[in-house]
Amino acid sequence: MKTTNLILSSFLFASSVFASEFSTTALIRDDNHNPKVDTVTLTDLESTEAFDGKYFKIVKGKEETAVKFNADEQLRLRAATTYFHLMKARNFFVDVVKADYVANFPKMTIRIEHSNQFSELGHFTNDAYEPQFNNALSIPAGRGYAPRNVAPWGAEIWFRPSKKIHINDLKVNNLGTQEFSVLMASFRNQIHMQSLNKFLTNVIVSVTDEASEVKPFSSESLIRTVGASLMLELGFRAVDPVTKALSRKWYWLDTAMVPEIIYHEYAHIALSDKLVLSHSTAIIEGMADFFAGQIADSPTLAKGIKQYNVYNGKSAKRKQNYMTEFEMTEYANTDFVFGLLWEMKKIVGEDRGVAFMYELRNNLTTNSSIRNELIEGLLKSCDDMCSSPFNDRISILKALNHKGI
Amino acid sequence: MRALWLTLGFVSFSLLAQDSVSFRNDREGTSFYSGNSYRRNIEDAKRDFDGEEILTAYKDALRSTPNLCVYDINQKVRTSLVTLNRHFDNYEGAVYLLREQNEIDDVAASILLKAHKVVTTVVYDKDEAKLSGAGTGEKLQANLKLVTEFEKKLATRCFDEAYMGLFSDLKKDDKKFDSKNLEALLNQARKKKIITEALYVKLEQARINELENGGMTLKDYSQKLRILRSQFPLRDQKERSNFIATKADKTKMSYRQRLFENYSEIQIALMADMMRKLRRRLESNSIEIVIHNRDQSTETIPLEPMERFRFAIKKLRSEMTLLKLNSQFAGRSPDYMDLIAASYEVSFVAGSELEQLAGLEDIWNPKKTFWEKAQVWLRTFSSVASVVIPPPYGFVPTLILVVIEATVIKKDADPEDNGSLF
Ligand SMILES: [Zn+2]
Repeated sequence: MKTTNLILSSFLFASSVFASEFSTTALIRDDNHNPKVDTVTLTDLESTEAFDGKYFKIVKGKEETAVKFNADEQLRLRAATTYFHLMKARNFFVDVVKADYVANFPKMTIRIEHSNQFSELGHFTNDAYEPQFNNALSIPAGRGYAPRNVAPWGAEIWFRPSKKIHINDLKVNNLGTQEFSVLMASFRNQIHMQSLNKFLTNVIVSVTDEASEVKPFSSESLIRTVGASLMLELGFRAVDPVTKALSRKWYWLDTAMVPEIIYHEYAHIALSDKLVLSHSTAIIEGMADFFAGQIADSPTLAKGIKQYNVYNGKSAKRKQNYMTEFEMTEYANTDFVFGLLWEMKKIVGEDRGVAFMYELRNNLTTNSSIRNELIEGLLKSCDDMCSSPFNDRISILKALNHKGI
Repeated sequence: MRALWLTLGFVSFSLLAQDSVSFRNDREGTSFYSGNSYRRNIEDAKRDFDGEEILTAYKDALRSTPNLCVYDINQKVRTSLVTLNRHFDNYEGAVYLLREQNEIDDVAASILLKAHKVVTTVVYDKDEAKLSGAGTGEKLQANLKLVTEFEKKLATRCFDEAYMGLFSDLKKDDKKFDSKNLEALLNQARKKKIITEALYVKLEQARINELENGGMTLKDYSQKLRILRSQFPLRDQKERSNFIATKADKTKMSYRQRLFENYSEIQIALMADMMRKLRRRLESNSIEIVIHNRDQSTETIPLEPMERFRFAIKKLRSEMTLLKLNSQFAGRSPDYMDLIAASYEVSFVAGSELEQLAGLEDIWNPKKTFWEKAQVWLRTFSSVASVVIPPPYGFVPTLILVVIEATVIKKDADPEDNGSLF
């Protein structure tokens, strides 16, 4: 091969993988954790006209082609927001956590405005079958099903369309006349509810929109739903920067527009080498929330968790104290694990806390319980990673004892 | 183990004669005598002498006092220093400085200081009307004779020992003889001029400072140190702990001073061993209960991690209670902090681990928590919580009020059963 050819071909090769950048608007948090639409730069794009990058391709619903930059504004904003925050989450795991698994993870398809349910065999269920709203989830890769022309797929994250419900349409005990913030607080007090959707499904007696036969809270055959209530409350509060004034009486969760939910779902992917995507437990959700909280790096969130933890003291019977029921999926309390891990990070040290928690996943499985494997895992990780294992282990044990475990 | 200890007790006497006695600090971090209230004395001592002068005076005194009589050592040091500086009257400062230079530790310093305090105690004239119990007739004569023989005792013994000897002689025929009686007796001896004014003052100083109750002497301390260091060589010669040099609750001593003041070397070793066990249990990743069934089969119950933690603590608690039954302790039950100080003294536990271990006491003996302190405040607010939450509050305060309400209402609920064995 001639030298000129070599140079030319390597130039071509380089330009073909050259990742371009694109400036656009997306929803981000301001310094006070309030949402705002602002200009951001999307990096590592492989396309010059669509949200299709080296690591993520954003598609609408069941489609396979990426959402175009010039798509309908509502769709574009969601695509830009998910792309931007997914890149932020990925960069966190690659640069801060130094997770090889994430660095080598294949390019993912991200579905927004996607209401079909998940099918292990067929990838999606039939369009007419109970469309899903106000939720997000990560799905495991599948082999596909040739006889029905279902191609194999990789791990994906799905963001459901949002659907607004007025609080008057819910008969939520005596909370009906109040605001959703009160409902949220009440939700958090219901420790035996794993997800907000389940909670709402339980408290809703009737929904006015019966004509359309759409059940905004029909409980998905849950692989997993968005994370802990602490995280959700933040998401809820910041859902719609435009109609914020109305949000006190309306509930909806536009998951593709909530950075913390995007981080949470991506955290599931980052942890999926050990904590497989087909399961959801309090520990798995708590772990995902922990990393989402780290990526969000929000003082508001930190304050919320601190308050949750402080009022988790030992005296008196409080619902946030450990209960054996937390170990069962149906009653799992993800806030408890989230708050616990947050506290553990402070013990092992801010500097090594993130790496510690990532290491922790090696000591966990989908069958892990809080009282056994999670604690053994914390102790073992501490032996390997704490600066003074003996002291730090005792700090961990004291803190757990304080939580009533 | 115990047999070994008993023989060691005897061996130690022969060791005493050696001239390499040292009270150099090898365990304490920042001195108990380093606070602001000591600072001025130290600065004065530094101004009056160069550090070497005090050090030389102390070393010479120690070397020339093989029985380690602290009163003699103090006297010799003072004399040397006064020779160097006629106006010297800051013996405390000299001792603090020796401590600062690590030539002595806090325990030795406390013994020097205590003896110094005795000989500088001001003795006031007595209101004779209030004195009684010196005895009468033959009894009085016999007691006065014992007092006059005090100087004979002093020729062969250290001042504190001689004084204790006198006191026990006086008690021999009169079990109820006490400090008040001695006060009257000494007054008689003084009036009758059968003792010198100087001796009268010395004995009064001893009496006022209750030397009859004993207390650790330099010789005692040297012996304890020698045995502990030979049996439990320090793992890290450079290790120092600030924690054990801090003030122990309800005393005027540090934890380490209290340890040596109150316990023998054998007791220290036994207490340290309990902490060694606790430490091992806390570190263990597997604790099992084995049930030996009558049919020869066995059942093994592994403890969960939190059960292991609480088991380790509860076991220590029960062992501490049982310590009272140990003949070495004769009914005394040591404080948890004594165990910690003991374990550090013999290098069973690292200095860096002491505070963490000390904090475990909170688990069985919780200090007032923030929560308990907040109860009053919470009750005030709990009634508000059930009313409509005013608009400025976000949902987080709302939540807190809801939680507070739930908590205050349920504060008398049964302790939660979390399904743990321990
Ligand atoms: Zn999740």
